[in-house]
Amino acid sequence: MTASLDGAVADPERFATVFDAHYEEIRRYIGRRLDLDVAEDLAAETFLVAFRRRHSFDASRGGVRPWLYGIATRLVGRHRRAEVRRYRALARSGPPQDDDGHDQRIVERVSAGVTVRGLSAALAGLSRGERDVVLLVAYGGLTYDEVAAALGVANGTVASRLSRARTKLRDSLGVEL
Amino acid sequence: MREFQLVDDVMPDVPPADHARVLAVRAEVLGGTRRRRRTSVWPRVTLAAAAVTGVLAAGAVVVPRLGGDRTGTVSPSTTATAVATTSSPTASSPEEALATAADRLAAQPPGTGAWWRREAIRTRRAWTKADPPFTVEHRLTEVVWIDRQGRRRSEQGRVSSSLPTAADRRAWKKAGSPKLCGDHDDCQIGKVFFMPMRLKQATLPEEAGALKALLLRQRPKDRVDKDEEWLWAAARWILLDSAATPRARAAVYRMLAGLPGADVVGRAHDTEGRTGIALEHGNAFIRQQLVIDPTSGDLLAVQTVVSGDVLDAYAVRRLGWTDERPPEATD
Repeated sequence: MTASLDGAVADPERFATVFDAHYEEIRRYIGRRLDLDVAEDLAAETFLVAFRRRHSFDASRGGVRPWLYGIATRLVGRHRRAEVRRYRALARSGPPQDDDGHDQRIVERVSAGVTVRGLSAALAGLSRGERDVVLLVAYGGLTYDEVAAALGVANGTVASRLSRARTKLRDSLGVEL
Repeated sequence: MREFQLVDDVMPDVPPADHARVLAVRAEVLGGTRRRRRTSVWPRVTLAAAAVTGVLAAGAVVVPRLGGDRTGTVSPSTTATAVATTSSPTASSPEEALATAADRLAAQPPGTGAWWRREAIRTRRAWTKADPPFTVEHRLTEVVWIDRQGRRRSEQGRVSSSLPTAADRRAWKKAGSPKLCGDHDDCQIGKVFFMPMRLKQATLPEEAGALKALLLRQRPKDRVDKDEEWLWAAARWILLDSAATPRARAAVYRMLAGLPGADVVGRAHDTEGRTGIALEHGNAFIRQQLVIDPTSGDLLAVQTVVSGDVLDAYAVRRLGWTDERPPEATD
């Protein structure tokens, strides 16, 4: 489906299909990196930028998804301090055990011994470039080639950033990701 | 395991998008216009959704499900919200009818019982990613319980899904008749999600001016919503998800009616076919509506309307204090 939308990008009529197919996932990607209010705005901005630049979209340099993720990632980059603050806040507090008497059962997501707190602290310790490649792979499910296309960097750069990030995350969390 | 899947699994997720906001963004994008910030007519609508499941500073909440599929099979209203009648009180204008309804609501007794219970039918229309895309309408029953100490529980029924128009049914068939959200358990409505915001609950003033002042003091400092947008969002939360007294609820109506851009429409329908007065605001494209029973002042529905179609709604079936108790929370 992604490939079939490549030709829809330049056509204003068919751009709606691109929006319908990818808005939710771009919003979710940004919303997992920044506060939701900001993410809502940046998701909209991502598609406005894409719409304005639709004529310069080059399918041969990657598909629609990497292109959109690339725009979104650059917009997130303008808020990198806010993103790091968010990770640090999560690392400090984590999910609360109780919430002012709300007796809902609260669950801290734990998988393979990795907690929100630990992982947030580890993500805060990555450089911007390292975090971008990790989260494009983790949240966007992009391949290395697609990450390279999204960020406009060489495949080797993606590989070296991921390698460094993996080492830092392993040292911080004590498990291999 | 996919590379870095642990990051995806562990890190908090985001709640589903507000469909009205998606529509507004879509219209702006396809119009190629620069988007004004905070154009949603239900600003931070997810705040209210989160409040239903217990607002958390960070974390996840398990929402227990109602036993069986009770959507559309709940018992009729027996407490505060009676089934609306189409008869309206004698009033020379919609504004006067709303004022009368607010007076009638304020005159209701605060109610007795250990738990406050709000039961609503939630309806939400959503696009699918099929080509061509089609719209699916999801519907579920949602019950919120709050006790006298402010402890909160919520339940959700199973989601039922349908295709609202013949065009949607054709597109769905063309897409291979895929299973709809309500056909399986992996349905996003009601799933656990992350919500980083919270609204402090306080004893609410029962006079419109004092209520407005309190809400503006509680407005989060890091938001850039206009005052009116914040007040509409907070009002929605108070009406749907807090055990506010009838007098405080009436104050909410009066406060909203006095805000710039608010309109009162004499006759509007909710998703359950009931008729009431609509207190609304928004723009030519999207309107948010409170539908109010003119004879009692009770809230019938909170809904988002786009070009005459209701896209997202909470139709209130019951609301008020009760001697009933919520079911015990289960895993």
